[in-house]
Amino acid sequence: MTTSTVTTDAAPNSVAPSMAAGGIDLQQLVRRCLGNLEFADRVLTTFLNGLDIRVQELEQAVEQRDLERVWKLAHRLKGEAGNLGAMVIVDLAARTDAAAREGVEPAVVQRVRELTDACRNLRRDAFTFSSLATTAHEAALLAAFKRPV
Amino acid sequence: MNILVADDDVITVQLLVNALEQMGYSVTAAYDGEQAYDLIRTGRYRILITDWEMPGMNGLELCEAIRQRRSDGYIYIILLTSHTGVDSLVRGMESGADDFLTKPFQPAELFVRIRSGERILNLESRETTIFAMAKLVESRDQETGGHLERMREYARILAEELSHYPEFHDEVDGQYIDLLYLTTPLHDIGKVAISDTILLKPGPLTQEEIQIMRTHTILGAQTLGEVCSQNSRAGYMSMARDIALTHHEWWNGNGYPFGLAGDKIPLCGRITAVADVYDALTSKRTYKEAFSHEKACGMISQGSCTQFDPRIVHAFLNCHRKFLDVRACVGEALVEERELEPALC
Repeated sequence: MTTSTVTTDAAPNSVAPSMAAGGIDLQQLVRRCLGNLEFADRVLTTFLNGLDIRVQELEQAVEQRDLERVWKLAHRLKGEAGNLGAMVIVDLAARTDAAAREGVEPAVVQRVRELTDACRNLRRDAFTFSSLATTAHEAALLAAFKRPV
Repeated sequence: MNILVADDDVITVQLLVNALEQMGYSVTAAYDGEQAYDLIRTGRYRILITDWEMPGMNGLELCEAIRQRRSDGYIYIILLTSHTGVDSLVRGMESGADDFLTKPFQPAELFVRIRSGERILNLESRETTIFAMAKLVESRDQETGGHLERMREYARILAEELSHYPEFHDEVDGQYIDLLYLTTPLHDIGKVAISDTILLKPGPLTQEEIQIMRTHTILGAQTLGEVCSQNSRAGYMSMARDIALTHHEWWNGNGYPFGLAGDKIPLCGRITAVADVYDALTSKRTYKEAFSHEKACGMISQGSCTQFDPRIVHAFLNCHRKFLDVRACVGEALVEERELEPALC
């Protein structure tokens, strides 16, 4: 089992520099939405709105020492975040998933803490993504995205 | 084409539905395995994209349940997963999945994988359709399956031989030969539209009845042509249509229905003509014994440049012994042939 610590500041190598701070790859998201910015905004909003519940569920599962539930939740979060190019969350969720499957509780607690922190940070930073906009597509997406979520 | 998407991840479902709808598909979403299985049982879906990890029945269990049920059509299953590695791939395939799509999916990859699934489903539909239609002809004409089976074997032998001729090299490749083999049994499909009083008449036909009987070429071509026009992906039916329409045309223009001559007769029609006549000559009828192989070879040789394309007769004479092998494998049965002998038409 890996014991290395991951923080929300440590962006995986696959994340482009312009995306590292927020951890969301907007270009990839827009591409996956086939250029439909309105739809991309809707998907992003759904994801961000769901993060609070994901955090609650993860913390509850850890409290209950339900490791199977932890890995299932982490696995699902990894899939959701991957679709949006939220690579920091993907990376942390993958590590949480792996730790929970291996069943070493202290590591799981640590991983869940890192993951839930990252989710909260992402939720908080959701209003400051405009600084990451580097293309017209992104700018348009972010303009649509500025409304509160 | 209706596609079913099964995933408990709402975001993945949203993205998949959006991408697939923009690609022109009709999409239904299910959020767990049980719901997906119930929807599959409606028979409305031929393609399923399912997540691996789902609450209740997971993706692998869903695949297994689908494969275990009796169904009248194949369901093409793409397993959508973030599980990677050979072990996962093997487990997925063993459960009955046909293909994998890794999360997060890329729309371009999704598109080509769906197209790949459609091609496989179309192959199944194609062979089933052709087989069903050929059997229909067989049942009306009281011919045994042996005739159709021998016909397509003869056609394949001739086409394989012709593929070595420089003038046919570009047209006759492996795909052409496969398609010819597949569609030759439909050459007489128009006979299903000929009335029993003519088709099953004992004894010789009157001139008027002969003219009606000859319309089976046009009737068959019309039916197959409509299939072509209504289903752009049924391009293979165009060869079946050409065969149905032209297998009684003669190289010198004395055949029917249009009196086409020479290369104006599609190659598939010219090949089928030789195959059809050889089988008619060497088969027993109620009014004649089967001719010997040698006699049939002589008659076909005599028909070169008049009834038959001389290059196809040449090909036939080069490989005529293979025809004997086919006759040995696909035995002759009594045939109630009501039409005039093809060689004499």
